[in-house]
Amino acid sequence: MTDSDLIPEDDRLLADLQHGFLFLSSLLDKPVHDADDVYVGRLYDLAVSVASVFPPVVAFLVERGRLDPFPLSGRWTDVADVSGPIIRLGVGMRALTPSRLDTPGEVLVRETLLDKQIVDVNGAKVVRVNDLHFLKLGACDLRLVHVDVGTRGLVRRMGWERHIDAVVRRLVPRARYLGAERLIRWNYVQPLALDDRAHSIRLSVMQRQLRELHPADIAEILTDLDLHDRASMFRSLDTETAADALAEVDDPRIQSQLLDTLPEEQAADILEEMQPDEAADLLGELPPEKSTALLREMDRDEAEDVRELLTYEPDTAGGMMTTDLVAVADELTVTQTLDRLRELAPDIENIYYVFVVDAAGRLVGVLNLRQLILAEPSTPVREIMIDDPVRVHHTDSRDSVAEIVEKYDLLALPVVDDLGVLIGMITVDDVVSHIAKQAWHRKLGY
Amino acid sequence: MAPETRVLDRLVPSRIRGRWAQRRSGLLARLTLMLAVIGPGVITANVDNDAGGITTYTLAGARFGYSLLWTLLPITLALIVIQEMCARMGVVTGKGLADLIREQFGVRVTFYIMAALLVTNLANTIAEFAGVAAALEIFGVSKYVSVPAAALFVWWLIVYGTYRRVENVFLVACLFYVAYVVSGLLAHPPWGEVLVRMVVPEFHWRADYVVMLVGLVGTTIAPWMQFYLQSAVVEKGVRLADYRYTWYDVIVGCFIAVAVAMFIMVACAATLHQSHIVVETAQDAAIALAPLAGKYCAALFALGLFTASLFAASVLPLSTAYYVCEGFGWETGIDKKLREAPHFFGLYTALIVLGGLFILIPRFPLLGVMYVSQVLNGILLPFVLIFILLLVNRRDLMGRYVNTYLYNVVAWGTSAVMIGLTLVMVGALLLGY
Repeated sequence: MTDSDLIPEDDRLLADLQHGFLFLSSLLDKPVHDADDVYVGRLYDLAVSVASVFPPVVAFLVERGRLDPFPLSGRWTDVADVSGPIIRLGVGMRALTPSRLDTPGEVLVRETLLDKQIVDVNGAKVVRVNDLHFLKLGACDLRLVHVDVGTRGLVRRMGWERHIDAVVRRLVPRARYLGAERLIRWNYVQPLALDDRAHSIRLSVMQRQLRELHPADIAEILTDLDLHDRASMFRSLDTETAADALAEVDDPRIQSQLLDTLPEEQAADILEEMQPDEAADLLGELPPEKSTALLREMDRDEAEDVRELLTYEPDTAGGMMTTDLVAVADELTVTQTLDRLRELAPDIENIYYVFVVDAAGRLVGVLNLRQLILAEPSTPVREIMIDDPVRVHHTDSRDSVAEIVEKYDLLALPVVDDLGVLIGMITVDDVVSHIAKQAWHRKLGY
Repeated sequence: MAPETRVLDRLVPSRIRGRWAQRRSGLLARLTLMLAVIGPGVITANVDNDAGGITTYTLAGARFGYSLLWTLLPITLALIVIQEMCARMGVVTGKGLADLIREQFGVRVTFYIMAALLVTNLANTIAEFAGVAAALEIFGVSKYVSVPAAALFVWWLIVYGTYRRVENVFLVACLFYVAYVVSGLLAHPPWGEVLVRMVVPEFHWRADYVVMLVGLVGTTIAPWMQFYLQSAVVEKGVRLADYRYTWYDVIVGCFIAVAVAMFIMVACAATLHQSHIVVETAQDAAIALAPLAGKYCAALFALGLFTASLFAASVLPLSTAYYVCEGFGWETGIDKKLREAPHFFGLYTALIVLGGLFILIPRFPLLGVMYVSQVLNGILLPFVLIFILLLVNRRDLMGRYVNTYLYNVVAWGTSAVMIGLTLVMVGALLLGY
């Protein structure tokens, strides 16, 4: 079986045109000889330039002995041949310098990629790199095209590929193991262990792709990462993506941890971007000094909403509701109401219900979008609204809210205070997530 | 300060009631934080006193009387140093031990460590099921019934996610160890002698003594505990600023573990050793509780051994599957579907099934396997410890939180002593002393 049988379709075309592929594991620790055939040491690491879409190998490190802490480094253009059992240089040993590589944008692959975790942006998963896959153009031009995250990569690293293949082929000739490398194309790989400079170069490429992921996927990636990687990835998201992803993270401990990793100003920006009820839930999990500081940093209006919401117990209707809603006075006409709706809609999550209040702010009726659109423009809303709609008091329990929403099949449920004043609404998604969470917690046994 | 901010400040205490009011300040807040951070160390200590632990301490007291008591002080020191290193590594790097070994030492080293750990942990899992079998045999339940039932129960606990709920039940069940404390006191051991032999080292050039020594260290400082503790600390997401609470937690856990060990040994020495009883079954081991429970001692012992074994049997296979998968980069998590994490569920199930199957072999020496598994732990310990030490001393990982000189002396010393003891043990066994 040749290498090219293992390669996804679109890459095979490339491979046919050129000379094939090779794995990092087949190069590492190979003996390196110089132009005069003098033994220099063993190949320890390769450096690639991450600025390209498929990074070329630009430099290498040679380890002289197990105990010698200072490797020699050289430019990849000095290498004459990599296909034989030894790597041959085109220059003398003196051309190599005893120093670490320190060029911006160049990354040592063994140090930063091999055995480390990466984010597979395409599959929205955190995986561990078992091997790296290079495309070989001409004699020595190597381009990093894939990372290998499959079990075969592990076996190859152990040096057992040939034997295990032989055994598997004999026992289970059609085993999936034999045909399937799990390769991830480099353009879908977000490395986590890059230094800052290489990171920023890589990031500009990745951010676009990350933004295209569903926030729930980003949240899952964040949850899968360890503490430090989680923080660095979260910091690299733009405010809007960060806010969406943060709201999707299920574990309140991880949420507050993430917010903690940002400077207060940035954390406040993210909170402003979130729905007030989500922001309030999050702030409720933080220590009081921290949440006070964040609220102070936030935009005044947004902070006021969140503060309001924070006064309610988390397990009550008040704690579940959002203040983002459309309420109109009962003397308005349908046209005026629609105008008001148009004006408010961009900032509001749920516009399918319009609540009608009297002069004192008491809830007197509700309209749905359908009614508004079908009604005669000059009709006062008082005449077409549903009087005395179903409502809950802000102290009502979560369970009773869920019950009512379920019973009446509502998309949103208004919340009132002791005087009947409309103070917020609970959208069906918050109720559903509560029901789902309850089922989930029962499963986890919290 | 801007006037606006001041207004807000004044607003906060009066308006923000509800959930903020539940958060107290001062002492109470600190206590809450402490309780939130506390856990991994104390839980690890209690899981550690499992079937293998109880058996090893019992045999140590029964066979050698008070002559092994002196080992407990150095073991405590080593245990604290080692556990603290792992907890610190977890907090500073945010990564599990298997994770770090893979990232820093590559596939080969990871493979051999994981293979050794898998074998040792399988032996430990067998020991836990042996504990279940031995305990229920006292009540007349055949092992052919008890072990499959226990294996199914443990598997169900995790796969249906009820583990967290029962964890507290298990922890409460650990109060069983108090029985040994009371029994040890009621047996009226010669306290003067006990104290002297706690601090005066003695050594006997006999194979069984050396094997017991390796087993004692191995059961108290089990290799898998280090992986478990570090993962638990990472899981908790403890921040560096709150590290001292984790430190307390680890220290308290270590002292609990060793105190339990001491009282089991004293109780057994004062009863079993005193009356020259050779412990061959769990029934014999239960006599150590006779001063407290009289004729009910067997039932008390069985109950304690049963819960301790079941507790460890639910933690051990799971954590083994976790860090083996972590090292190899396979998907993990009990909330995943079978298809998403086949390696994880495969390993987990295999450990439980194999662990149970061994016990079903007719005339399988239940007490023997509990003891031998702990000796295996002792043999593996120095190798795991060497990797822990190499990692914790790396400045690029740990920054200024690398080990101090004193720590290195204690930890390297422990490795050297354990390797030495293992060699002496192998030599003595081969020469037939």
